[in-house]
Amino acid sequence: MTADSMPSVGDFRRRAQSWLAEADIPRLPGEYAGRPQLLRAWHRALYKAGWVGIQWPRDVGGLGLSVHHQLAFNEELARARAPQPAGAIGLEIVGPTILKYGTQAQRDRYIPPLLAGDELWCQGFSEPDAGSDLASLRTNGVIDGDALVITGQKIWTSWATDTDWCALLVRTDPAATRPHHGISYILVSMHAPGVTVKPIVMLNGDAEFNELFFDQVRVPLANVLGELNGGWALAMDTLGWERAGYSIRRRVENEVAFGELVDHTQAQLESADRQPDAASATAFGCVYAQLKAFEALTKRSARRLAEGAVPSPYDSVDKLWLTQTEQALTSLAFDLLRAERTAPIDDDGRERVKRFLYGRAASVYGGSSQIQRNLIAERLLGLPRGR
Amino acid sequence: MATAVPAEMAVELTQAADSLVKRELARPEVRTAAREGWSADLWAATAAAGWFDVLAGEEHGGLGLGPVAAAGLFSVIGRQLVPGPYLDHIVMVPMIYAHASASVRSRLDRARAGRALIVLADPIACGSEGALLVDGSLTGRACLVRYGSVADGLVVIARDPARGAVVAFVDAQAPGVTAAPRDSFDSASVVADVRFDQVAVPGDFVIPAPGAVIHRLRGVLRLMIAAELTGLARHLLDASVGYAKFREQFGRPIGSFQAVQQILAEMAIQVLGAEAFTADCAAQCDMDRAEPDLTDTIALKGFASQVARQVGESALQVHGGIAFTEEFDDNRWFLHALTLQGLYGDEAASFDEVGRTLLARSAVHSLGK
Repeated sequence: MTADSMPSVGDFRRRAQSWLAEADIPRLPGEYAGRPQLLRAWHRALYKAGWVGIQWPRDVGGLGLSVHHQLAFNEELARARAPQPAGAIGLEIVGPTILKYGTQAQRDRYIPPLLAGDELWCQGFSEPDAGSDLASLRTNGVIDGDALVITGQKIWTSWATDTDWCALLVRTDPAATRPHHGISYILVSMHAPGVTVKPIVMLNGDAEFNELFFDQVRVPLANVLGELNGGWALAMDTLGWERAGYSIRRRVENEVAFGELVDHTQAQLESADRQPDAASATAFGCVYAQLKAFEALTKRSARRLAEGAVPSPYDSVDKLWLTQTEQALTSLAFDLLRAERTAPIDDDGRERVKRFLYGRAASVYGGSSQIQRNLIAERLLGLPRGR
Repeated sequence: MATAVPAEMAVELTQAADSLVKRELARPEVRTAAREGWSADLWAATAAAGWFDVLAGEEHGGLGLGPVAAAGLFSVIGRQLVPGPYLDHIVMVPMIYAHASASVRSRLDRARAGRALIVLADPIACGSEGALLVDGSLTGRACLVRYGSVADGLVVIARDPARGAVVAFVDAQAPGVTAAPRDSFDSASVVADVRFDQVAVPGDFVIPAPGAVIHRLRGVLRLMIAAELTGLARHLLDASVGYAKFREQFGRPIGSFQAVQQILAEMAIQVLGAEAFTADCAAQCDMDRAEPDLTDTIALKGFASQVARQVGESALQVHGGIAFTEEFDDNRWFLHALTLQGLYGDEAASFDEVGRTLLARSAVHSLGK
């Protein structure tokens, strides 16, 4: 599609708004176990209505529109209080990497069901002993004929219990001169013999994270994405998409959550016939200012994504800003619970506690804040490699 | 006034302003004078370059380039620490001009041409009471007036018990006006307390500016102070990064230590956030709107104050012992940031006001909508 034949972002946004106003938006249960099935159905409904793969090329089943169209839809989805489709990891993180580095055969095989929501993806990067130092990962892949035999353990894999495929980093050359030179990026079926998933219950009671165990799992070499032992660049590309695209989406979700918190607090003050106390008013104003600053930054990131300038040290800037605003917002909502903060009286209160606890993870997942600051120091500020 | 100017034009203007100031400050006599808070040569050069015409509408002989271009100038003023009553001459004079009588305009014209200093006395800027204007007679005190002891004229926001806030023009030489300069720790802030003792204000010296104009003026001033604060913070960041690459301890640059890198990276993300927020706020600032929505300019002022203060404190930390000496030049940026932090409400006062506005009964907000 040429730029001339594209609908304007404004028209596209209005169409999304009217579709979402009529849509049967799933209401997610508080318990995690009830969610995956609803989210998968929601993904298929979005796909059927033509809202999935907006910026993806038409030859793989996308709409061939721009990043700006995709971001406008993501914003409307958040404003409609609608959840992301179940295949968000595939759509936002793994998919773009397959598109960029995959062979034609790999694109033909994996992209259509990824878009349709028929196959969901997870991401197997972190290991118990390879967190911030991702390049030290030890899950190994040994070549045996036309297959790679994989053995090892991954951790912190989101939504793995309900996924079909995993984008996995494995060490395929233990003798490589530098650790990140011996890593391959491979696409592994979660239904293959030898794959075991073990949920991890989080601080907030949800079991979104998992451990993955690979015991002599045979995966065809044809499933390697990019070059054998050349997976590190792909992983960095994936993390760039994760940091930039994810930050933009979460920003809008946080704005929606802040708007709800303002409305809720307004109503409480009104029914008690009270004025806000100085500390609360100041905290609200401070979070508002941060959300505005983050919004301004993500507009620049949208332009960067549209120009394909990913990965970039600015992805780390976005990630740190997302962390800062999300933690400030969830802390404010949590602190307003006062004395009943660990034993709130209603569902709204329980949700605030869950979000606060989940918010603490924001400075760790997707690369910890310390690591992001190191990246900024080296790559944006041009400081010597850190010690 | 124009609201939409091609972004490239604003960028060009900012670059030209940057080169002009660099060129002027390269002259030793200008640099020495600027360090003491006033360089007549530098002031004349910026006036000649059209800085005071940027916001003025074309119908009044201005350039009508709008707030994005003006914010660009204030970012240069911050980055290079240009002293002078620029808030008054780039923002206040053109915004008051449209409402002024012929006799006041003739005085404002001299200020626009760089031949007179006319400064604003706004009690809200420093949280004071303000003077009273009763039956054409002005009495009271204005605190912390920029260049108040050397100005030729003052635009005073006063209270008229019958009409509320009013704007009055006062000649500095008028009987009953006395200015007492204050010592400031900030060399780039020359201030005075001005007393008005039954100063006669003729009818055509009362500027019939409706309340919305005063609100709008304060909103644009907050925006431009934020742009200047962001420029100050940018300079302090760049200076600290430069120092960390140069200064060695334990046989290597201190910028190679993660403990120092973490501080610098945190400074950088805050400065980037302030720059983006300032640019967006300027782009959305509609100079003609009758009912100004000030929430965002107040939030921005608070945010930029917080960032400049924190970045300034971190800059001192990164520089170590030298930072606490007079010979450390970048202290001047930090001290000026502290001055601007306090004007029109620091972060605590600004955020408090924004929060109260958001939480006011039946207040309508656009968050997440």
